[in-house]
Amino acid sequence: MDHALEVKDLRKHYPVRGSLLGSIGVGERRVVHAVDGVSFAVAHGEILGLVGESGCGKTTTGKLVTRLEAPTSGSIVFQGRDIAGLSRSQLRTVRQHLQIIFQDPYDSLDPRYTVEMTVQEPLLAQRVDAAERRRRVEETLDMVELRPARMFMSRYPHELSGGQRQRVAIARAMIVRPTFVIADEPVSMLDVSIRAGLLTLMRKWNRELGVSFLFITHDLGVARYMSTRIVVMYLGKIVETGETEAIIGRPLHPYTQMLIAAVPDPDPRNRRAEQELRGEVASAIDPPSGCRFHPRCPLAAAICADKEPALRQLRDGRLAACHFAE
Amino acid sequence: MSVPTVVSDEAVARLDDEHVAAMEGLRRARAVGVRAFVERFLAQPFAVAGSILLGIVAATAIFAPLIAPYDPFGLYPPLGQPGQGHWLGTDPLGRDVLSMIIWGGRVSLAFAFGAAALSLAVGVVMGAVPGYVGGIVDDIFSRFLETFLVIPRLFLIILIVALLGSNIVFVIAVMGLTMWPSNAKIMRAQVLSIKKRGYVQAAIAAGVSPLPIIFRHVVPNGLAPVIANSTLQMAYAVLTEAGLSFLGLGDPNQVSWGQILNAGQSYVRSAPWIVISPGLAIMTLLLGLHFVGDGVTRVLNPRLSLGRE
Amino acid sequence: MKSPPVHGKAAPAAREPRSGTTLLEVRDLAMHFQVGSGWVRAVDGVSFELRRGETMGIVGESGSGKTSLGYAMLRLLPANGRILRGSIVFDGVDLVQLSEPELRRLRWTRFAMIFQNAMSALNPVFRVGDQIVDAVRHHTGVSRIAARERAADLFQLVGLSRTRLRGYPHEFSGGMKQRAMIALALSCKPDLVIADEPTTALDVVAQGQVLRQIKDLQRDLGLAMIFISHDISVVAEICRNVAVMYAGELVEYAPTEQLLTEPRHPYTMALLRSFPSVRGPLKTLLSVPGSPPDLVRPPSGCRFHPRCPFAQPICSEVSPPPIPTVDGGWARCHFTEEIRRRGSDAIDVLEKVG
Repeated sequence: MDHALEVKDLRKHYPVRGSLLGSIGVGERRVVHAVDGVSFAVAHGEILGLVGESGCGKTTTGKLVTRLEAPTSGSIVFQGRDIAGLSRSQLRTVRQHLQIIFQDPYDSLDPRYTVEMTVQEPLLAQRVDAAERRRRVEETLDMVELRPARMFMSRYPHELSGGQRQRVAIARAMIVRPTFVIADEPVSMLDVSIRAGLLTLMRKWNRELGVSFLFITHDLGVARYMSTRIVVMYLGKIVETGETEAIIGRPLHPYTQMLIAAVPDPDPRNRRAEQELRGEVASAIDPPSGCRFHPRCPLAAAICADKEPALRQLRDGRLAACHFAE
Repeated sequence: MSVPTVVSDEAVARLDDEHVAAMEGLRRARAVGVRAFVERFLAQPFAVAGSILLGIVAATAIFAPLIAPYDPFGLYPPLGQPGQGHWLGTDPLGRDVLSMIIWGGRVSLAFAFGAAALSLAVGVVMGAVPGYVGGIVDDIFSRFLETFLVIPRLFLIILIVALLGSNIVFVIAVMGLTMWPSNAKIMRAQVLSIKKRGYVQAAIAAGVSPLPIIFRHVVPNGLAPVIANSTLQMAYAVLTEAGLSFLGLGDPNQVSWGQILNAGQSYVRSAPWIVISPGLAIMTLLLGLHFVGDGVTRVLNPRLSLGRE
Repeated sequence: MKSPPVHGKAAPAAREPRSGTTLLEVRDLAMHFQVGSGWVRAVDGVSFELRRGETMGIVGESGSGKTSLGYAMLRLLPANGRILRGSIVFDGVDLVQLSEPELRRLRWTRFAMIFQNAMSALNPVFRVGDQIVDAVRHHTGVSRIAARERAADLFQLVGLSRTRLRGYPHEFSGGMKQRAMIALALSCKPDLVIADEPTTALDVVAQGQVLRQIKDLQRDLGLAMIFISHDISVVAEICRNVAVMYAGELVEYAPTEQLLTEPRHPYTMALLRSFPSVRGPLKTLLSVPGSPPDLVRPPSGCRFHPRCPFAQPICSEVSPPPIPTVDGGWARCHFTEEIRRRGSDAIDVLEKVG
């Protein structure tokens, strides 16, 4: 296996409900192109940052990779197998190695379950016995720094703070010792001053246990902190990939440039040149022709509306989907 | 003054304890579980009043053999006025009204709980499973459900009972099996939104099979409005039973309040006590059920357990 | 009576912040609201001053009381809230003493608010233009035609096209809704605008656009602005001065550049180190141990002491007064001088904990 995870030409189209005629099959079926031909790979032990604004398809990509949704087309190769088309029972063995951490700590824990019950649930699916389950729950809670573990085991989610809940969610993902974790905006709903603790925990997990990550976020600062490589998405497509510092330091795609220029920075020493921030994210139902970014792009030319740029390899091993990037 | 030291491990541990302790107060306002539910329920005067009414009816019914002065089927001078010996008088056949009222409570409660319980069980399953599975199964099922809901229930019940008999167990079953669609509809609506919640997705991602997910996560979290609906269904069952008996379709081997109404309907002017007593009894039970149901709804609805910080 | 500010691209020279007079003076403001059996001390003794045309940021996390402070300043209290003490003197008038009808006359015409979520301010069943017209007419009583013109001008001011006036809120994107809200807030030419997390719900690029818009508007119209946010970078973009709020109190106040380069309160230091930066060097992120305090029973003495790496016995006993630092700033910390001497890297001790 070359990569921990390899995704090729992944697509997910959602039918648009709503029109009366549409539901009886009249007229063209309208479709949301949530993910539209995405390919990338995550190396073993790597943290790959998947970055973009809302509506770009990054969360959907995360759901596809964990098979919480089935792709419309494309392949997802994990541990040497294409899991894109597997059935639920076939996925069960895979699921032990592939876990997910969700964004909303208030939503991802069953309010009726104690911490112990929540964290041990993945083990139930793997048919581990009660005494062993309890031991592993304690051990894992200790690893996520919820100490003393015994005390936390009998608590309910509403008795915990947001940061503690997220640690429980991490514990639940960790307890089966996965080799690959998808983290979907794991800290964006937490207070800034406690994010670092959780980010550090995930980095530790990556470094010490060799767990690979697909780290989904809209926050460029967090993406920079966590990832070795970054993939930038816009309207269902990848526009740029490369090493984190290279992209941040010298973004090649106009959208990435706009994204970085838009981020405010508290450090007055880092004030950047004013760059134009134009337009708004277009609709994923009727995306612009050719390059999807062209209506907002300061470099747009005639070719951009006609021909969609392929993600091509530029120097330093970087990829960008723009006719003019170099 | 020198600036010290790092916060020690013990101090950090103590912080968590303090935090948890400080949350105690807020915890009580937001706790899950039976005890919290009961606490909040009993904080409402109407709910308490309803519970007392229900308690009275239930106690009378349970202790009927001890309380009832006479055998409800025993015959005494008919149409006797309320007075010594027969506190609520006697009906046209000579049966003691008071004893019939006391024993009749059993039938009413049997219908209330029996029919509602059956309706709950069937409704929950029939709503949760198609709702969770989705797709064609759900589409077909929803159409079936809607059709069922359109059929007038009372007439259906009357028809079945008239054609197939009025044995009490049978009628309770019929009622339960015609009442479940409203529970199913509510449950399905709940399931549709709950199945998108993070903890359900997490369970799926952990490899848990659909059936355990439905019955361990989805149903418990969606049960609240169904329970509230069930209390209303209990009231409906009592009323329907009374109606059936009043129409002469009740089980002749049982004493029921509707039956008393049936017996006394021709004597409303001359012997009003015969219809007043069961009327009051039914009203008491229904009031109790409605108050309790309302109390349950109020507790379960606004922020029972899912308090955000 | 001061003449209303001039709108339009030509910013009058009189809008120079430093020479401006005091527009708002808040003294020892305390607002509590009742929850169950206790009182949440959301705002517990806040004092600051704001001059005409000046911009001030209030930075705090959830549970700091910053949103409550914003609402309290406009006397928009929740049903279970009460102002316990203090004064809010706006242009010479103490708002705390005013009756509700008197306040209503001032709200929107002299000061206005931009809310966090546009949905709270925009009614989904009415056209956006009509809502602005209604607001203008309600507060200033001008004719419908004049109000329409004003709405069109406002839209232009915030960078929205006139044709959008006939649109409904659901036809607007997030960024556009926020701009419409800004237009609504400016509709009656207030002197002071309080913005409560106006860009938090927006995507990165939309946030950048709206922030620029706000910056330009503030400069061109000479508005006094209080910008409330949890994101210190956003505040740094817009505000000349910043106050940091923790557990119902302001713990530090300083000119922005000063606060960012030389913070004088441990919480500020930790906060600055918990933001991963996009540009500039990578630094280790720090976390503050523990959790935000319970506002019903806040810690004794300095409210930050249970989580402070520099805490000493005195910190749990005596609540530190605002100790002057530089340039009119101050910090509520017994050891603010020590911190200055050690420099902002002193907070690195948290690395061993966090």
